Amino acid sequence: MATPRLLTPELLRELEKARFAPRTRVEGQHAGRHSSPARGSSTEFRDYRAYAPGDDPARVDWRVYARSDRHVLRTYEQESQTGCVILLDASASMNYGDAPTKHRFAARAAACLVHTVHQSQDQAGLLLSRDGEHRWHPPAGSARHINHLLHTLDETTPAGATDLPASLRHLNTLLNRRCTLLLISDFYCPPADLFSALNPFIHKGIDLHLLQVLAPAERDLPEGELIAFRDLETGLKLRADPRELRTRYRTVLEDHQRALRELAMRSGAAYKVIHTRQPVLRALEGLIT
Amino acid sequence: MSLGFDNPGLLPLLPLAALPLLLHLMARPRPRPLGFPSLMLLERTQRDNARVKRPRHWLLLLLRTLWTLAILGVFLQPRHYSERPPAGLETHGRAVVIVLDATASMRAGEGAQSRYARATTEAADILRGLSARDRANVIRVRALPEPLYPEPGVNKRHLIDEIRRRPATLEGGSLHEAFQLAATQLRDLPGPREIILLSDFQPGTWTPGRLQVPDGVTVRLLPVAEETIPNQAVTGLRVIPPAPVAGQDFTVEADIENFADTPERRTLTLRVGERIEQHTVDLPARGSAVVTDVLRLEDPGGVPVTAELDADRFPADDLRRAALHLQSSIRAAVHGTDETAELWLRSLNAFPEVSTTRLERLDDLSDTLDVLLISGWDGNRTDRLRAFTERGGLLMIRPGTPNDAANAWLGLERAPGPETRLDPPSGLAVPEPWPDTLRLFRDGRHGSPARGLVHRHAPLQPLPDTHTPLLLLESGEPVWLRHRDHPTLFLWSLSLDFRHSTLAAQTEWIPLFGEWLFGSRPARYPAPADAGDHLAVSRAHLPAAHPELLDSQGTHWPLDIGDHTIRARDPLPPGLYRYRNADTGETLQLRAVNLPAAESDLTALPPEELESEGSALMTRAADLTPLREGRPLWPLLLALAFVFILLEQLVTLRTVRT
Repeated sequence: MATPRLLTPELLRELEKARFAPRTRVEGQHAGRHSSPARGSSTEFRDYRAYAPGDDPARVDWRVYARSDRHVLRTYEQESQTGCVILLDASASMNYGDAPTKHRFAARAAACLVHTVHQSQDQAGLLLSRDGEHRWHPPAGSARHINHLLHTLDETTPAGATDLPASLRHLNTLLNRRCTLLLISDFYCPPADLFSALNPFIHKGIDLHLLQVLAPAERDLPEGELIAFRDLETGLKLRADPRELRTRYRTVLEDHQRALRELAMRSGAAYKVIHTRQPVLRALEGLIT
Repeated sequence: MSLGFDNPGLLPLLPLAALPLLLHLMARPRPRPLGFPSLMLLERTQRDNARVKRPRHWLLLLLRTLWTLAILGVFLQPRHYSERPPAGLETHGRAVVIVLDATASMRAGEGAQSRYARATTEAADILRGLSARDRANVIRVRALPEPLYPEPGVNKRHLIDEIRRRPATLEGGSLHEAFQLAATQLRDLPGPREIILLSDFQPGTWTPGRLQVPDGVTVRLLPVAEETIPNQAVTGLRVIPPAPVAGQDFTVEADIENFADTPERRTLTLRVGERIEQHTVDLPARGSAVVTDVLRLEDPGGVPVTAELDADRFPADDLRRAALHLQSSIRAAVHGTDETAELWLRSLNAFPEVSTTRLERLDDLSDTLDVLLISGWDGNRTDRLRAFTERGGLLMIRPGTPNDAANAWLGLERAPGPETRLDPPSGLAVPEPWPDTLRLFRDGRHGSPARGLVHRHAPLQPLPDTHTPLLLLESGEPVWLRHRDHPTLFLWSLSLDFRHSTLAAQTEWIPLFGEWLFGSRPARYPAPADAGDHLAVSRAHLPAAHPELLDSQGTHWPLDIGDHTIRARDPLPPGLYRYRNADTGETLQLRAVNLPAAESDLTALPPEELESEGSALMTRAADLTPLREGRPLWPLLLALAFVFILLEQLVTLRTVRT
């Protein structure tokens, strides 16, 4: 089932007894083994909640609106089969690093998670964001679907520029129920923009995991005297001497990561930084057991 | 201030200063292209870094440019000219006037040479340092400033020869006057202009701040006095009364000054004719003393008087001379018929040295008369009386009713009013300050000249500021006046009739009259002149068809004989001179010429007291060399190049470290 190129026998051995373990109760269309906190559309009413952008207008309780002039949605208790959606940033910036590249590392992590989700009889979905385009694979649990996802992950080559907030806005229109959402990217975008795009998911109670994949040279800058840095996404160039910039660059990078971490904490999301030289399964800590 | 170059041919290489910029641009390492995930954070980092790095890069570029310029400058060999434009850039040569002090004090010796010798050496050095197109002149400071050229000329060689040929004089002189002449000579000349004063800058003759420096003229002071020379000098010699009579006592006074910081004991020898007197004089530090000798000579005629100190380092001022003319008697006359004239006549007869006559008519006024007293003058023959006073005759006038012209000559507003009775009678008073004519009575040992009472009085009406009062009534009205413009003319208003005043009845009257008679007459010969004088004398005082002038050695001095005056053609050095009738050999006048007293102070002023606004101080002519020839700047540039290179290395090192 799994393609050896991403899931090596060693990885498969390590994942043999692994189970998908989302942090919160999950929401699913099918009854499953996870208790869902989703206020779904089943028979047992649980609560009202305020309408948030991205919610299906059809779920607005119009009678409440007529009485209170407020848009609220009815939610219901339900047992569900959980789902896991992976948003993989496949922009050109991910095509960086030596053996493996950030993309290859990210794809392998995603493959491990898909394999584990399937092993846990849950559903896995994938949104590939590449060169401004989005390839959407809705969550499903069939072996064929999983195999297709693994092949997709393996064959995708990163290219073009990616607007992560735009990808998230697109995903919000596709994702109507609670699940676990794993964002794998290098997050080279303003943290405020990113979390602004993540807001609807937070309101939906989706379990958010942000995995920032960096190559070691991105943290310490490459060795050398003078380098014409070329932006892998935009092609813009910058002449700089890494020796002069290294210290300050580290500070700037740490500031960027600190901002991401603080916003993630405030939003209840999990944020993790992983380097491509680290074991891939460490990237999935907190998601699989 | 300007720059010149020894190697201006290398100037076209100046654009090489841009070499560091080119090298800076060309030597920048070619960057290794490298893809990077995102420049977002890198750009932010570089923005932050640029705030520090960019100035550092500019600093590096600046330092590199500077050391390149400095090294280029070393090869160009620039010179710094503080005043003159560099050769080739100037349109006019420099005009320099050297004011060379040639007064007597410059003869003072310091070490192996005199101050003047040093001054001429420095002046020659300055002249030699001028370029061929520069113009120069030398003005020697003496009694009258002596320019060697009428205006600055290019022949400096001749000037050097002249200043070496001409010695220092025994004259005094004004540095400021010579400076003004130099300024006048430079006034209309183009190009840089300069006045250099070479002098010993004596305290008595140099006043800092008095120089009026014209615009655009550089003034330099080069003091040649290196040390204060302790000096004592005879600075004054006089005879009292100034016109004594043979057989009458007279006093010779000599002033001795000590220009040293220590007390001195010196011997002074006074010679009056054949008589010689020696005195030991104790002089306080920076003080003075007066040596007095009372003498009597029986033979009338011209008598030389000298006062001489034993020799010191500056002997020129150790001898001072005066000329004395002893008259055989004083010829006096009285004109008038009233009681006052009678009493004057009787008073004159009290002095055996005086031969007295009554002058009936003023037309009979003789040229040989010395003293004339007129009571009740009505203003006639004013011309004769004016001529009498102008040739030194002593005249006392008690005005009667003179006319307006006579009043004007006497300095009166109008004729005295009618005699009026004073009731009660008035006493007399001596005005303040005490008149010199009455000096005998100043200490009170000889009584008071103002004793007696005045019962009747015809008040004088003097014009303001025309007379010096000698005696006053208690009311302040003058009774005895001396004319300020004609010092031998006296006005008397008091009637000496005992019924009108009792002054002549007092015991002090004859001494008072005698003081006036002997003390107010001018010397027969004019006062001694300063060296450099031409001893000009009116022809009226030299009644000879062929006068001649001889010094004490019998040397003839050529004369300029004009219609009204006779004078020596050349300025005269100190000595005794005789105007003589060449036809008869009769001595007409004996004259003394002395060293000016101001030349005796040989104190070397400290430089800070010399400095004057608008002038610069020099210590030697060689100080001008860097100004004239420029100061080579290549050593400075070389040092700067090293400093810039060192700084560049430091900045580079710091850049790499950070």
